[in-house]
Amino acid sequence: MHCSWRGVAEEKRAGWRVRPRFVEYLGGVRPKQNTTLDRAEEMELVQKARSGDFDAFERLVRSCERRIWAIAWRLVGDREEAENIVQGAFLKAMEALDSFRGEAGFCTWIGRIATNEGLEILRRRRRKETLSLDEMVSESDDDGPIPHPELLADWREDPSRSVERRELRSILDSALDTLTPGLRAVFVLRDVEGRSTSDTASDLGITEANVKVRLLRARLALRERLTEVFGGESAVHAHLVPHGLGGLAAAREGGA
Amino acid sequence: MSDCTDLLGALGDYLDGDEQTTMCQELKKHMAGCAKCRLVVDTARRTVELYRGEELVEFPTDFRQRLHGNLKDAWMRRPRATASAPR
Repeated sequence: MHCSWRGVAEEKRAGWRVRPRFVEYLGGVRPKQNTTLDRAEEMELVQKARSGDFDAFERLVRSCERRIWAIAWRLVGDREEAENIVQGAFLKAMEALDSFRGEAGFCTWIGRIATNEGLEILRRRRRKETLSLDEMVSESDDDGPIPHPELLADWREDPSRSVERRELRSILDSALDTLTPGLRAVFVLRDVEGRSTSDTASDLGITEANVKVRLLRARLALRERLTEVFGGESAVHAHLVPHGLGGLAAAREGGA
Repeated sequence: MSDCTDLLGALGDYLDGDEQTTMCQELKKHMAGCAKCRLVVDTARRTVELYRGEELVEFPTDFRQRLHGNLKDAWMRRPRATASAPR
């Protein structure tokens, strides 16, 4: 089969300047397990909290605070705004505890509250920026061809083994900051928060087809930026790699 | 269909595990013989995994402490929060 990824960019993007120190990182990326509650425990705690038990409410908060923070941070990328979102979401949950029916999990419920607030912040930002920045309105997230992958490098195995966690966080944050608000919102709702395509479409007021296109654009854009960093010296423009494993082997040999 | 770029549109469904569509089947078949496409698909999948993990988002300790303090204060101010005293 003939392969023809067409690379077009000859220069690295302006603004992307993160060059990681490659050091051994032994921690790996593992989900935290210690505060997870099953649904029965969760409902029991909700009942206790409804009857006035703050310790029960605090356990609920602890079970999902990292998750809610991750959603808020990924969505807005600003410490103060993320803090306001998270605190506001838990305060709203406190006030609305009686209306929680348990159809979705507690974290999912709080996640929706936090996401709605985060989206409102993105909308406000966009409204402000479109008044002063023309590129915000000329750039389309939905139209035109999907950009082709430009860079190739093999960093599949585990970049966290090579890059310190703090650096890795910074790299992921910087890459996410390069997305337009429209792409960022779809990516966070679908891939960070785990919402369905139809829920995401409904929350953002766009079609499911638009969600799919924006998600693909966001994933490819982030992949491209991470390939620039994790691929390091081994990253090559896709169109320059000879077809077949020979080119990839050469790319790997040049890696860290 | 044999061109990598034609299969790009199936990447989203493929990463979401919806491999039954004709395009995804084509992509799967194509990847068996195309190392570059495998690399693109695998690094795109890895990208999503990295962002999905909470471990790679720093949860600030000072904010966590403030959050819990503020929630406790708000709980105390609630008219009905009398059944058991917070710690």
